[in-house]
Amino acid sequence: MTVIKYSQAIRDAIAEEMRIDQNVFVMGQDVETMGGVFGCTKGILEEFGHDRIRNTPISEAVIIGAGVGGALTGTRMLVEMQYVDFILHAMDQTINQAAKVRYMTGGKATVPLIIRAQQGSGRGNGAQHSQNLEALFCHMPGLKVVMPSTPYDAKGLLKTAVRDNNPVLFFEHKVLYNTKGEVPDTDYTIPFGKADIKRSGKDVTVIATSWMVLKALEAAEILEKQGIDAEIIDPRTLVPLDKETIINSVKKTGRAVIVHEAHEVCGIGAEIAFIIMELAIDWLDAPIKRVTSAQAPIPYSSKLEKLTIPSVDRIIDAVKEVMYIK
Amino acid sequence: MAIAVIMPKQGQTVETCIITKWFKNNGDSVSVGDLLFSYETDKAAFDFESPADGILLDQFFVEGAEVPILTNVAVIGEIGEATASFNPHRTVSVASNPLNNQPSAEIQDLKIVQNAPDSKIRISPKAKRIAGESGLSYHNLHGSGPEGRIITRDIEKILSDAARSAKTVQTMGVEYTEQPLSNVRKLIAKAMYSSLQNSAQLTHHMSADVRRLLEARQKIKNEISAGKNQQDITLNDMICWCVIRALEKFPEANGHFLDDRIKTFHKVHLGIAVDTPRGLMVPAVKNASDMDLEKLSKELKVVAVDCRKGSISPELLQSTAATFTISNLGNYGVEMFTPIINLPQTGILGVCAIINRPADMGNNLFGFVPYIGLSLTYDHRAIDGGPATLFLKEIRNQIEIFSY
Repeated sequence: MTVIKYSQAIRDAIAEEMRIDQNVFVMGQDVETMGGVFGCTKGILEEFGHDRIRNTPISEAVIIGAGVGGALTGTRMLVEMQYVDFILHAMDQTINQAAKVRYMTGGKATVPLIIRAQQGSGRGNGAQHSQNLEALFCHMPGLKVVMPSTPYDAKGLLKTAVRDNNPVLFFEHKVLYNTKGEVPDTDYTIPFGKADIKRSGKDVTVIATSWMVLKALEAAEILEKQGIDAEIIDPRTLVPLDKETIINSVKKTGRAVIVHEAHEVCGIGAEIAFIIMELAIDWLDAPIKRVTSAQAPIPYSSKLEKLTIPSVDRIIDAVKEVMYIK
Repeated sequence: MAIAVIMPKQGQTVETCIITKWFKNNGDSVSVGDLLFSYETDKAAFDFESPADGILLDQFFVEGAEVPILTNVAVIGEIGEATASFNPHRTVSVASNPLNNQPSAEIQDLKIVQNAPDSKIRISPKAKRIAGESGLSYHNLHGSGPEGRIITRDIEKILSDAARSAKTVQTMGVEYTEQPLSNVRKLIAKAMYSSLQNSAQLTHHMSADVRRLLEARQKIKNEISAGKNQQDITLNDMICWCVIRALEKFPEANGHFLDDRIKTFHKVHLGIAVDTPRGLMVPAVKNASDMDLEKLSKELKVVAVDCRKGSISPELLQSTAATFTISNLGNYGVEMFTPIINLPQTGILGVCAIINRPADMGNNLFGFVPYIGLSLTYDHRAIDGGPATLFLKEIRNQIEIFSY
């Protein structure tokens, strides 16, 4: 085990997979020498050369469109969006093409395309550079959606994504790149559809994604001192979603709080809450609570940004609310 | 027209009763005479029968609730009738265990309330499922969740209280069941222990030739089968009658020992031990010495039946209601025993089994004679051994000279 940064874990995953598979190809804005905005592809050019990594014009439609084309012709295309917000330029390529080609060809064509994108707030980047768009892609059949919260998960999941024959949206978080964690020195992968219980508890189930996992864990530490034992579940992949782990936890605790940074309306929290209702209503002792960003654009001001997105305090309040503790 | 079911007033001193069991649930149809609920005073347990035909619309109290007397307990009427006006408007704390006097602070938030007639019961799905699986009625519970929502901890609290009341435990391979005492059991325990602790009681045993009683009994049986007599006077009735006659001659045995004085009664108020499903009860037949055998026999039956039905007046169950007590174990084959005095009474007669014993029939002829065992326990503080023996001999005498 070595303690490395989240960004390093991504870089290691890409390099390792490129060494294992000659068909892995990286493409994106400034990925060559700059290594992308957060340095996730730094050193790839030196090791693998221009045959394996290419800078692109500032055109997301080109990046993803070329990615789909490359994937269809047998390359494992690892493409990067500088900010997830920009993927909206390439929705046709993503949703109409990447997500559907395999279906339209009766399974004859596969699209091993990995779209890496960093998303989320936390750096005062403003409304058009701070969004969390995972729900848009979860909604569309044919796409897998991954949201790692730790270096360990990021590396293991990205390696799985590269080996998958279907389009994967791999959402990193800009705040998480500098977080550190233990990562095995040997090759490992993490299967999709397997949630991770980041903290075991008996009183309340908190389902959190990406950066919010860290906030939920912080909240759990405070709650523990107040005698509340929270279980923190990180689904890690939203599509496929590990219903079993969530349901088992809710059946144990009878209470659920869902925390995500994306907006509340039609967010993944609504989906998870509905699944809990469907599969575990008779185990619920309280209405499910969601802790999400306000239904408003993310403000540019850092202070307002903090007020807009879920905070540790709001998670604590929500937990107490489902525990009926004032 | 909806009518209220009211917690009856049991005697002059009873202020509250505990509902021990509901036999009907909200929405059940009930008929006059149906067992509605059972309840306890601190002295005795009773059953309450439905006073009307209809639907049990609303129960205002759950099992275990302590209900002031003359309070509306439930409403019987037709479906759709409003019950709110019957609501006793009272919030009563449920004791964590009605029989457990230890105060329980955390249970205080569990309230029994009248849920508004048409209001939906607020209960979490989990609490509802657990209640359903446990067969627990939650309709009149006021939960500890927001706006009175019943949540799991409320149900679990009730269940754990119930589990405390009777649980089979297995520790190191030893299985046992623990059950808190019912009020009746507590009362018996206290009275019996206190009697042995606080008096100087001892028992004399004697036997009486019971041939005349058996003849009388046979005669009564014959009369009944011949249709000449409807009243079944039992051996026990006759013995009671004989004891009353003996008590008239030994008034010192017909009294209460009150530490600094002895109260001697001019009439015999006879206590009679009755086994009931709830435990031993000793109702008194007041003014038994004024009654002829037929009347005495009738009254003894009435109090025994009332005890078993639970409709006996608590006043008659007080130990001060009787002046002397008879406990008959003869039917069970007990040959002698040491009955315990119901203080402040000064004596109790244990009536034992009839045994055939060899006896001198005269002219050096020996035969077998049926003898009934008599075990007189008396309080030596009140009566000395000599008079006690004479009193016991008088009982024997009354039995042996009995005529019907």
